[in-house]
Amino acid sequence: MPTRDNLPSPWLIGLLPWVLDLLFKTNVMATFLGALLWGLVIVIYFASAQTKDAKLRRPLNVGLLVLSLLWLASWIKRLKDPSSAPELETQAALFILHGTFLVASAGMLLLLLFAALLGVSRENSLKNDTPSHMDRSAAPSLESFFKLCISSLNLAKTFWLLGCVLSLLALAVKISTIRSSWATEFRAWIFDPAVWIVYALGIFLYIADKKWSEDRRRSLFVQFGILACVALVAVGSVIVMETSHQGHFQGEFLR
Amino acid sequence: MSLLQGLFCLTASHKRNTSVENRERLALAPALMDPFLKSREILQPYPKSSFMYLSTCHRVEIYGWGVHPTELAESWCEAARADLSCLKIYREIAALEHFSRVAAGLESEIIGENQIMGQVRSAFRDNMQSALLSSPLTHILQRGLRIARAVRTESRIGEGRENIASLSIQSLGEFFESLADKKFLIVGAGSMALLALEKLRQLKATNITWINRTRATIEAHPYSSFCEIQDFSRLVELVENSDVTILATAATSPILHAASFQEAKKRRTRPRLRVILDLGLPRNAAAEMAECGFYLRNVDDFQNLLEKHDVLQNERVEFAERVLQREISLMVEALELDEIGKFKEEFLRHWKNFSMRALTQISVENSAKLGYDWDRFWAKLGHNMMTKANELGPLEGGQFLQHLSETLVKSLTPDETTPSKIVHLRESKLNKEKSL
Repeated sequence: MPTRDNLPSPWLIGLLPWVLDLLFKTNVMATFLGALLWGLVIVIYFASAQTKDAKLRRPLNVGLLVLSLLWLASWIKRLKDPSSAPELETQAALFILHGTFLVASAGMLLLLLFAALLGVSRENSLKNDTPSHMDRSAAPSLESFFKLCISSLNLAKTFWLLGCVLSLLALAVKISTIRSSWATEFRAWIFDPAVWIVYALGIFLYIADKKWSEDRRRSLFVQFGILACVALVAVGSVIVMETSHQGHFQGEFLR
Repeated sequence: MSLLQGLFCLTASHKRNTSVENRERLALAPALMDPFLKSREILQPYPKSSFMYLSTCHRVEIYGWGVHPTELAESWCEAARADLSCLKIYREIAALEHFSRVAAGLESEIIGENQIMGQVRSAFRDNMQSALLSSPLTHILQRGLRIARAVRTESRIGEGRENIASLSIQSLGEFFESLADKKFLIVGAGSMALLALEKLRQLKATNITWINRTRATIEAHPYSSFCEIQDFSRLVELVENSDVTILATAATSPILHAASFQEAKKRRTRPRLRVILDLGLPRNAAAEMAECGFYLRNVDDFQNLLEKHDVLQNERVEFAERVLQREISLMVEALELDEIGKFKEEFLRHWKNFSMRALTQISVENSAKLGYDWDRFWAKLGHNMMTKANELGPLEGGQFLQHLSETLVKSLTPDETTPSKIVHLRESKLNKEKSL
């Protein structure tokens, strides 16, 4: 576990939002924004704890602070306006949990894309044609961007896997509660294209991670970028499908 | 000035934006360069010619004397299959100035770096040994080296300067977060490899492997105590497993090819950053290695870093330029004085003969003191003429002495122009007088 004196405990980062949500019934983690911010905060926290490059750690810590404040701001907004928070049924908890993990994973993929773009830019700056007035040594090292990409991808993969497992659990719980029409429910689930995309993306993330091309005609960062783009398009399409189910975009993934 | 009239320099360097590929072509291996420079086609019309070939990471140069530079440049480019536009020709004083600038480190990529003087001296020695370099080029280049030494000493441009090996390792900070935990592989046992090892030692790198074609050379080296020595035959495997490979061999063709890594590529499971620093010229790693999962950097890739580094030394460099100009003008004056010196020497020889003839014509028997005074008189007269010549300056003084010498020669018989003959005549006359 990362231990950095200047960072809060990882438990605080991972659990505090849930605790706040449960205590005050704000359900910020059931919103796209809340889950996305949580995912970003987690990945940035781990990247900042792992990096040895002070030039990257500083902006990461600033990012961590800004994102945490943003999450708190959205929580305070919910706290002041309780009517905006939806009432949750107990059986919906698993759906919320799986949705939160999937959207948090999307936030991590977003960071992967950002880190890949920074990595490509850093790679280009290392080429000889960079103007001499630019101070190349002031930027973080290529390895730090590489590690940021790897951390984002690994965490995104893990969260996506957790999301998938939780979705299965949620389905199982739902079927067990509505025993009469479980076949209909299951059929609806299995033929839902969003479900297919979610599982296909999980498989894609695992396969892509194992099939790195060492052909440096396409740099590692470009490969990371392409992977992130494909994954984000898939996530986007899932969100669009979910929104079409609800009829309008509410910023929440409760069904 | 006549000494410098035959001097020239053919140069292909990074400062003229000659690419590393063209420099590689022009950097003929010693086995090819020596016969090329000694070839009859080049030397036939110029029997007194002389050369010095200098090849470093950033330049390939031929200093020559007594050969037509354009013809040599054409032959060189033809032999190396390089474009003639790669070469710049400096002549006479500009060639000397260029040599002094190179030796002082003012033309180096790291301005003022300390390695160049050693490289120039080494080239000087090697060319002397291979009988390419001879007088008067030796004489001129030695003066150039003296200028370079003065520039370095007075301007102190060499103080605190890094070498290319050291800077290239420093530049790894752009790639890696930390160097202490990285695996390094050093290939070669030359000066660059040793400098790289020294730098890594300073950085407290612990995981260093060192290989060389001749294993015994590195095993006997003191640096082997903090390195793991391996066989050169494991080169590909070691490069594959290292984070940073530093290539610094004197190989004339690449020792690392992409084809050797095809099998290794298939075995890779995780993406990883691997860097190859190629400090050799000719390059030790083929260019396609960059497409083989490695970040490849060669000596031309440190330009940006070095330019920034050089800005910090601008004041010293400006001062060094001023010292160089002053030393060059002093050198030109000295060479002009050398020219008068030749006339002086000639004049003194004839003058001595002339005065000795005069001494033989007086009777020693009459007075030894008279002979002594007579001797002093001629010496004083000669000295006055020399003083007059010095006052007239290098050109007119030389002409004056030349004219005097010619007059003296005319007044002497052919036998008397050789001092030994005069001495013989004088001694025989003295003996004759004594016997009487």
